[in-house]
Amino acid sequence: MASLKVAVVGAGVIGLSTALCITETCPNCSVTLLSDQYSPNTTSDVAAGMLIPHTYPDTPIHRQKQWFKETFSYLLAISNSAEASEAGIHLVSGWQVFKSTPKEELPFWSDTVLGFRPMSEAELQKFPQHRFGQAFTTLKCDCPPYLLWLEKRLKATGSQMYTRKVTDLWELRGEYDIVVNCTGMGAHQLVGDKQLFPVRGQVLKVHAPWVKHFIRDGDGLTYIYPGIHRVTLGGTRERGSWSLSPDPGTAQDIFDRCCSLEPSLQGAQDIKMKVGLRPSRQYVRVQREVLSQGGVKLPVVHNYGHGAGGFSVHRGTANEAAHLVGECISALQGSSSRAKL
Amino acid sequence: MRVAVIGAGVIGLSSALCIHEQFHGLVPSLQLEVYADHFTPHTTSDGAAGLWQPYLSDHGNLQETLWNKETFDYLLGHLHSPAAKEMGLFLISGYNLFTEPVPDPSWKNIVLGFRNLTPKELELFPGYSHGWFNTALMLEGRSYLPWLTNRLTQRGVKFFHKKVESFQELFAQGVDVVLNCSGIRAGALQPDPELQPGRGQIIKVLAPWVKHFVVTHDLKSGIYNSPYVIPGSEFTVLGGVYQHGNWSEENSAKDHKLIWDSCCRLLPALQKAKVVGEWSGLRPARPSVRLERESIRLGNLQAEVIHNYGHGGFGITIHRGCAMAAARLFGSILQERKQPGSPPGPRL
Repeated sequence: MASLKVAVVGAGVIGLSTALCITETCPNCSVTLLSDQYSPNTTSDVAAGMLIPHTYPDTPIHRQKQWFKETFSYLLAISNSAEASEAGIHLVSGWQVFKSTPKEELPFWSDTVLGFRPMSEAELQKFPQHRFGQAFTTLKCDCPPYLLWLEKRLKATGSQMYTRKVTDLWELRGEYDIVVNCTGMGAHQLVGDKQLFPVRGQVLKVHAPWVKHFIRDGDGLTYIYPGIHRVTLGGTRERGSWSLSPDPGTAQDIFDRCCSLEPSLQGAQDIKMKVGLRPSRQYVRVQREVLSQGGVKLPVVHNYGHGAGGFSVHRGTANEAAHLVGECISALQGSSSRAKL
Repeated sequence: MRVAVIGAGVIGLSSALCIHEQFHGLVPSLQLEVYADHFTPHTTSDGAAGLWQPYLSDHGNLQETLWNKETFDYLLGHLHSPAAKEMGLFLISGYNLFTEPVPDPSWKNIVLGFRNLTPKELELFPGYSHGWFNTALMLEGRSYLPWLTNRLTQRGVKFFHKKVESFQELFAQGVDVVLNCSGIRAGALQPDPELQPGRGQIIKVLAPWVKHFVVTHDLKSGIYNSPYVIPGSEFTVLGGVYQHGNWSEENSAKDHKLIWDSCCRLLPALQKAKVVGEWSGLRPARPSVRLERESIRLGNLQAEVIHNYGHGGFGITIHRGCAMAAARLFGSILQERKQPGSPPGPRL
C-alpha cells in the first residue's frame, strides 16, 4: 500500500506545528508543506507569542484548557533544554493589571501557568491607575526563531516545503490524498469562510533589554512583552480592518500607553512598527470535511481561526488536527480495502 | 572644611553624594574630594552583577537589615524616574533554590511578592526541594558608578587618581575629615584582622533569553558557593564561588569549569550561551560592616575618620543605608565642631 500523501497549506505557527504533529502521529505518510509566505513574513512573526490564552466564545472551555495545557507542557520542556535558545522559547514573569476588578478573578488557565496569584498591595503601587492584578510566570515563543526551528525539525523528518500559492484546495486533488488547511486569514478566500474575520493588530518592536517582565492590561489592548532581543509593545484590536500598513498615529498611541504602564520605555531604542491580522472566529475550526465534486472526494482537515490565541493553543490544536488526519487515513484505508473486494 | 573620601566603589561614591547633598548648603566651605587607585569600570562594584539581595541570614544584625531596607526603598522610589535607565536600575524577578527547608529571610517583606515555590516550579530545578520566588531590583555597577560620578562632578566634587598610603597623609595636607570607603584594601590603611577577602569569580555570557535570576544555595558550603545566574541589561552573569581568605584576582580555570558546568546543569539552555568575559574580585568580607567614627590624635589636632567598609557580597544591596548613616556621623562631627550651619545643639 503506497504511503499516503498529505499536503499542509500554511507555514505560520499552525501550519508548521500541525505538519510536525502529523509526521509524529502518521509516520507512514509523506507530508508536504505549501505556503505563499514563510517566516519572517507570516502573521505569526508579528505576534509576541505569549502563552496567555484568548477565550473563544464558542469553543467549550474544557477543550481550550486542554489545548493550552498541552501547548504549555510541550514548550516548558523545550525551554528547560539545550534547544531553548534556538527554538526561541523562554520563561517570563509579570503582571496582568486591571483598572477595575474583573468579573472572573480566576481565568481558566490560572492553574496551568506557574505561580499564579493575586498581586500584593505593594506590587500594585507600581501601577497607580490599576486597582487589581495577577502575577504569574508563563512562556514566550519568539518569532522568527520558533518558526525557523519548527521548519528545521520538519525538514529533518524528510518533509518537503514549497513556496506556492494555493488558490483552491481542489487543485491539490491529483497530487495529494489529504489536505490540511492551516491558512489562517487566507481561509477567508481559500474556503470562503465568512465567519472568519480579521482583527488588525499593530505593534512596536523595540530595544529595551532592561525590561524583564511582561505587563498586560486586562483589557487586552495595552501590553509589554519582552522577547529575546526585542520587546513587543501593543496594541490594537481593529475588527474588520484588512490594512497591513502600519499607522504612525497608532504607533504613537501604543507607545504612550505602554510608557504609562512602564515609564522606563521612554528610553527604548530602534522602534519598528509591525502589523498582523488576527484570523478570528467565534470558535477555532479544527474539523474534518470531505469535499466532493463529480463523484471525486478530497478529505480535508481544517485547523484555522485561532485569532488572538494562536501561540497559546497551537500544539494542542496541531495534535487534534493530526488525530483527525489519522481518522482520514483510516477512512481512506477502509474504503480502499472495501474497493478491493 | 575639606572632606576626603578614600575609595570610588559604590560605597565611596554614594557616601560622598549623601554628604554633599545634605551638607553643601549648610557648610559653605565644604570641599569634597574622592581619592582612589581604581575607578569605574575597574572597581569591585563594577564586577558585581548588581542584584539587590542580602545574605540568607543577618545573624541578628538588625541594623544591617534596616540599611538594606532603606536602600531597597530608595531604589524602588527611583524606578519610575527618568534617571533609572542611566542608573542601571530595573526590576527583576527570580528564584532562590535550596536542597532543604530554610527559614524565611530577613528581607522577605522588603522585596515584592515574596512566596514559596510551587511543586510545578520546583520540577524545573531537579535536585532542589524548596525555594522562593520574589521580585527585587538590579542596580548595575557599570551604569550606577558613572551616574554617581556624574552627579558628584556636577556638584563640583574633585576626583584624584591616587593610592592613599595612610590617613595621616591626607590630614597633613589639611583634610579635616576622612571617609574610609576603601573596601577590601582597608587593612592597608589600618590593620583589621576581621576584614578578609571572599574571592568570587564570574563568567559573563550572552543569554538574552534568561529573564530571571536563579540563585542556588548549599547551606553546607556557604553563601555564593553554589551556582547562580543573574541576567543584566546586556549580558548574563554566571557565578557561584566564595573563597574565604583567597587574595588572588586571577581567573582560575578550575573555577571557570566549576561555574560553567554547574550553571549549565541548573539551566540547560545556557549550554548555547556565548562566553564574552570573565572576572574575579574580592568581596570585602567582615562579620559585620564597620560603620563608625574614629578620632585620631595627630599632635595637638583631633582628626576624624568615618569608616564605611566591610560590606562583603552585599555592598550594592546595603549602600544607600550605609551612605546615609555615614552622612549622619558626619553631621555629628560638624555639630561637635560647631561649624556655622551645623545642626543646632541645645541653646545655652
